Amino acid sequence: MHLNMKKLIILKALVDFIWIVTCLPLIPIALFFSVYMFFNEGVLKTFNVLNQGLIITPWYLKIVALLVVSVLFVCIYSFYLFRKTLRYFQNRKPFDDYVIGSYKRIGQLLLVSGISAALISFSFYLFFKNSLTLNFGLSPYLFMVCLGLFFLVLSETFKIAKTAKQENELTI
Amino acid sequence: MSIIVNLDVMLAKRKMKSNELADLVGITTANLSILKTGKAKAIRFSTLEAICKALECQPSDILEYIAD
Repeated sequence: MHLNMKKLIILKALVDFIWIVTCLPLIPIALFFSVYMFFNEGVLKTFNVLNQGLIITPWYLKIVALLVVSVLFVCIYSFYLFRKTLRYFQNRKPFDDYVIGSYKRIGQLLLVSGISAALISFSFYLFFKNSLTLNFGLSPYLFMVCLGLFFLVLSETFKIAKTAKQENELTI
Repeated sequence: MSIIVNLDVMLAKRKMKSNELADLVGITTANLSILKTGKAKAIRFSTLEAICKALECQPSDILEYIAD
């Protein structure tokens, strides 16, 4: 067996493991949480935000929690798309239109959700904690934006590769 | 594309069938069909040389430029 194929099998196994152990249980939990917090405000204390001496109305916190859950769902969907593209790699169709389209969609989703999450976090601290916090180091939002841009570049690169492959196939 | 492949004309002139030419050149009939229908993006010099040798002609007999 080719070495690259072995790496792909390991990657697929890890991605499947993360998908089954983390993503699948997270979907019903997040859905339940997003509905349950409207009935029981005490559940928001799990974030430990209310105990940090913040005087905020739970109504705002619910909005923020909903936005966080939306970002989480976007991440899960992106991971689902990525998992699906690995099947195309296994079938030796890396330059398929589906892979190119999926990588473009993943890139756009990660970019938008990364920027949104950063704005939510920034606004949350600015309006509710009255503190202007700027993190110039390694932040998860910046990492998400970089990952999104990487997938967009990858999509463009795959598009170029597909054209080159087609031209090569049509060279007699 | 502005480049026209006149392979079918040369085949008719030489009274040769496509599969015979494909065998002589060493390419598949599917690839020869791509070449004949003008779907090919490029042609290797080695393929062109083999076609010219098999049909006893010049590259200009096979390829023609027509401005758009």
